[in-house]
Amino acid sequence: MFGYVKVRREELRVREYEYYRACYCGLCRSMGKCTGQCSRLAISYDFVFLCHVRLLLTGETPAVGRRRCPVHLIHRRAMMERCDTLDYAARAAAVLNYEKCRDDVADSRGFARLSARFRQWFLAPAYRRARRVLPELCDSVRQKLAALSECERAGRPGVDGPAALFGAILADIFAYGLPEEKARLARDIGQKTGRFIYIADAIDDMTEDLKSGNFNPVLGLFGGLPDEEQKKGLQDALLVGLSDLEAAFDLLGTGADPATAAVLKNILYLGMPATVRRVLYGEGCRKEDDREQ
Amino acid sequence: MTVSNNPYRTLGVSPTDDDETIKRAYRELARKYHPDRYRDSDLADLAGEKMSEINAAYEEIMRQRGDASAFTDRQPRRENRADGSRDNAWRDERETREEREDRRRHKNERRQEFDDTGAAYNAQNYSAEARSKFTLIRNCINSGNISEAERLLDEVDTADRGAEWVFLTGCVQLRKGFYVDAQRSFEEAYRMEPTNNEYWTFKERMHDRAKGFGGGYETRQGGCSTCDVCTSLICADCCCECMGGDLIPCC
Repeated sequence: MFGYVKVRREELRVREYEYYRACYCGLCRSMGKCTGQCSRLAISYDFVFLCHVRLLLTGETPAVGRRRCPVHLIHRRAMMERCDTLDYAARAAAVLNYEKCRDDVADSRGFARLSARFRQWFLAPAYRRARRVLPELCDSVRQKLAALSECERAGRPGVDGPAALFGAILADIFAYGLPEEKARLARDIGQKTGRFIYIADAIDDMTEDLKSGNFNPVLGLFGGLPDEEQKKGLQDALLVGLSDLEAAFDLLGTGADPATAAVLKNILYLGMPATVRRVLYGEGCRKEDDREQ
Repeated sequence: MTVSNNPYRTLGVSPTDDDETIKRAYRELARKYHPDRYRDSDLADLAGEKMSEINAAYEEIMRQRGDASAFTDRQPRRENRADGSRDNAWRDERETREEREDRRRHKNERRQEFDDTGAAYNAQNYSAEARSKFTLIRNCINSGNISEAERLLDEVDTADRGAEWVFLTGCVQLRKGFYVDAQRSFEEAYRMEPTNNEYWTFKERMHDRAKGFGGGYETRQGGCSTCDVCTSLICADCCCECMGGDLIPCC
């Protein structure tokens, strides 16, 4: 369900790209420190996005240093130093990843279930450590994920109902611990991003789900794979959703480091539309392309 | 109202910039935080705050400059109002009560998505009870009472759930930000009643909004290349030669 919200690398300035990567590496390091080395494998770009939004909202400006990491032993990499924002994002990632696996175990059968169970077992230590710091967040995420699978099981037609429920989860994660005004803005961004991720994921999985017979809201809505006309409708709907997100982004301000806002703009105007094109038409931007960022 | 200690920073300009640049920056920002953009958003008040901050900063700069030189435009807002289109952006903070009232009415008018008569659909297809309910639902949507509209939609008899019902469901979904479902509903309604102009308009409006998104990131580099310079010179030379002159004597 992750990796739908990321930058379009070739359009970033070098300085902005380095900032983005420093944030990625810093988050990875924070995950190692806060939730254990194993949890670092579950890092995804969506949480780097979360870091950027929260860095703007909290106004934190973590220093960037050069460090070695287990994957890059020889050359030191630019890496953001640990700060509250990165540590929070690391813990939130552990919570969401674990809860998602737990949900998958309940929802799937056969081999998929076995694999989900293994992942759950693998992520459990990280979750336990995160839970010690963020118990309320864990509870609300669990509760809302349960509501989401309830909604999916009920099988009512419509994509946006479950998408809004997933949006509510991300809204909680984005807004946790922020002061009132900023929490509202973060909640709005989280809600809209969550909807986008959910719908993009449903579209991305529809061919597989058609084969395996798993529940998929998009297949449910169109009664099969969407034709060209319906695909265009989906694209329009996702882009209109993004224009709502744009209005919320404009209220974020520029923050201390202009790179933060530039990265977010790149994600919104290029990265997310590219995701839409990829999931709908399989255009460019393969998932594997960006593994080494 | 808070004016940050540096109005130039609020507008993102430098004190050495000329009036034209500042005005442009101000317009750009005013468009960004215009109340119309946040019409259906929960963040309308945050945008409003930002807007008044920008207004105050602009006013402050113009006041300072007005003191410094007699040639600067002392009352920029009045002048800008001439173009009318962005009237809201330049509105006076100390506006009179009538003005405010007027604006509110204007806003409410804009909120109305469809005409009150509700006669746009093919009325013969529905029972009298359904027709009165549809009118009620339209009024609810117009006044922004979405939950009530949803409840009423649920109450409509299954026999009356024709194109109009599908369309109104779509309008409710649109208001909730459920764009995929809304788009689907509009298409469905249009398919059921292809002669209806309103259904078509709503279906196309989604498409237009989607097309309007994405201009916020400059990926193309502006300016001109060496090639452009050469070709322009050659063209200019040709033109001069036509008129009997010569720009580049060697060719």
